[in-house]
Amino acid sequence: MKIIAMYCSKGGVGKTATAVNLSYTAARKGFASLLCDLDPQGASSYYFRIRPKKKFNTAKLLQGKAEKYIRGTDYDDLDLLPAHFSHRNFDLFLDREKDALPGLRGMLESLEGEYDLVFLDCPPNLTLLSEYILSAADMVITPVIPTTLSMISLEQLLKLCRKLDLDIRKIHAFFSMAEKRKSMHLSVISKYKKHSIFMRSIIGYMAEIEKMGIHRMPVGAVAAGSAAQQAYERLWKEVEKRGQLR
Amino acid sequence: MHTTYLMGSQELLETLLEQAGQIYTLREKSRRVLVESYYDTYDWRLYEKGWILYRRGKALTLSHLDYEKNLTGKGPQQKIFFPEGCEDGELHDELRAVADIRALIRLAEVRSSGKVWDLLNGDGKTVVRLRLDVYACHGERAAEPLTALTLCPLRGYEKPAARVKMLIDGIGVIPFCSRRDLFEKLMRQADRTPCDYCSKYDLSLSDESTLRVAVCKICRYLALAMECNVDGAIADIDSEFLHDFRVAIRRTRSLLSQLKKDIPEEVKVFYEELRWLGCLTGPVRDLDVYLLGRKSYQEMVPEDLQEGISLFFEDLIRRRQERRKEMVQGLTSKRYRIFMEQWSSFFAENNGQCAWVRGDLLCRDVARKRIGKRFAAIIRRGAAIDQHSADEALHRLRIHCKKLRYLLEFFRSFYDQEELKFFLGQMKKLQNNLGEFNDISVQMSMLVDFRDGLSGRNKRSIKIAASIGGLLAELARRHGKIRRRYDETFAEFASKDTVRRFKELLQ
Repeated sequence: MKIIAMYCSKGGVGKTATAVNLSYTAARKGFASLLCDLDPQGASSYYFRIRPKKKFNTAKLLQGKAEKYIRGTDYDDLDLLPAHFSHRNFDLFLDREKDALPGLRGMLESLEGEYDLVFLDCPPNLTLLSEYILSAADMVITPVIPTTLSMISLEQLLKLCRKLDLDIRKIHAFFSMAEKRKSMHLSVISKYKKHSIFMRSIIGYMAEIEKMGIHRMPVGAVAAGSAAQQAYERLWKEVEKRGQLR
Repeated sequence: MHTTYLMGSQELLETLLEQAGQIYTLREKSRRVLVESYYDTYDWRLYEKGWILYRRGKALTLSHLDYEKNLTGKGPQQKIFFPEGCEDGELHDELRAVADIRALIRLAEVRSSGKVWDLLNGDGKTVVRLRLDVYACHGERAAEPLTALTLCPLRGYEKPAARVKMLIDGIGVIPFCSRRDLFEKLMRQADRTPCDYCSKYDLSLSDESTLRVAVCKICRYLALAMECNVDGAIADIDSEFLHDFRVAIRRTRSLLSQLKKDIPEEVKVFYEELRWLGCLTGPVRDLDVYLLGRKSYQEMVPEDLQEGISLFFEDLIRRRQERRKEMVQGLTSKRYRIFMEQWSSFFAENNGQCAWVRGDLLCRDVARKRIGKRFAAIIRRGAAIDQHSADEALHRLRIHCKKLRYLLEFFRSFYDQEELKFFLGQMKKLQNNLGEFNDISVQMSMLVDFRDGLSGRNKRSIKIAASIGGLLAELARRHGKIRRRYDETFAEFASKDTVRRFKELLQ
């Protein structure tokens, strides 16, 4: 079982859209997939129209009892562990119980054998939870809007990894919400695209992706052959190759 | 876990959907038409292990009926294929292990169509699904399509699934259908019943059977086995059709010869025809055995003799084609047809036309005498064999053991099954030793004849002769080794404990 985290310390970069569409694409390709929505805003859960069960909360998740709260999406081979509002206090739980808890990876161990891939939709912050996620994940996919400030955020992420003594080769970035008409975007992409940390696939700014909030489903479920779905499929292909997922 | 129900009527479905529609929003979707071809060996080896094999397009799926396990892979799209034809992987390995040398034959082509209803909650989320499948078997017989409704729960939405199940149960008349039931019903649509053929001898006789009733029943059973296999042997689907055909003939001849004092004279008319069938099919079967053992022959000789082995097998294949022509002519002839008609008619249930002097004797009494005598002969002859005995003595002992085994198979229902199982297990070891010894003797004899029959001193013949020389040397070594194991094997079989238990078995 491989854990793939969708992480960025900045919000609004397309992280949730990536989590939803990549997990959907992975499932279509035959990987039994679970998407864990760790963001208290619950955007992934919203897109899949899934609410948490009444008895679910952060404590249950951290005690390794997540299994019975997983719910099936409308799509074969793709399940979701929905977000809960108590996730806003994740760090408090982690800080209080850090010696007693099995850790994020430990929580997910009971799912070994059930899923090929676990996707984590992470909250956009630099916290104790972020450290747990970066340590536990086999791959960290980070969307980067091609601006100077975003590059600074990426550098901060790499700095954090070094501080935690993690292998920075698990970080895989890609340009997200890129707009060809913006010269700053073109300039940043041109400058940094050759760095090995960046995947070749670029997810452009697309209305279809924006409209996910209206349709409340992955872009591929709205239109299988759409430009947006094709872009995510190209991205997924690279993720699969880099992560040696097959 | 999905639950499937057989749908008897459209009205029930409409009632169910109406009731479900009061709780959930229904979203109807058409399912695309699927065509699935189902396969198994002639003797249902996959089904016996709980598997069903089906092909959808190029994809093959091996699915277990009793637990959630599916193996997928690509394989040939023909009506008949072998496991070797599938791409490497778990599916290939499992098929190879279960089907072995038998062909996978298409049982039925099933067209399924239907609909799916997503039941949505207030958020527009699917919380449970209902799937309607209509199955129609493609073929000459236009059977009534089978309609099944499956309740498909979604993970984490147990309550909606339970609620819909209650609605289904509330309607009351839709029976639950397991996957196994559904498969059996689909097969019946195609005029097949799972396990309608098995190569093992499996006929029970009642304790009160007279000799006449028992012999007629056994001969009818064996005639049916012949009929079941003859078409497959003619079509050369796989080697086991001919093998099973010949085993049925051998069993029949053994029964009649071992009971020759007890059966009517009229039966003896058929001896010649049974002998003819044995001779007609023997050469092809012998060649099948060599061809199936090709790999082991290749492993017996070094690299520089491999080419000769390949040439040798090319000749065997050619020879087999010629022998097959003769065999097929015989099996499609009037002579065969007349024999089978007369044979079946003779042993038909209501045939009271010929006088069986000893026909009213209790079969189990006759069986006990014959079996006891045969066993005593084996013990006597087997004990007399030593290192100086000719090979022929072991071959004759093998025949006696075979005859005893056949008797025990025919009359097995008269005896305690556990004790019989023990005795047959003991006898199997002896039979294996004698059988291997005989097989090698026959192979060596065949190879010598083949070598002596090679024409000319051309390169090809020389290569073949050299390779045969290599094979003979290795076979002679194995022959000696097996012969040296005989004493110990026989001693184990003829132990005081085995003899005592056997005598008690016959009481």
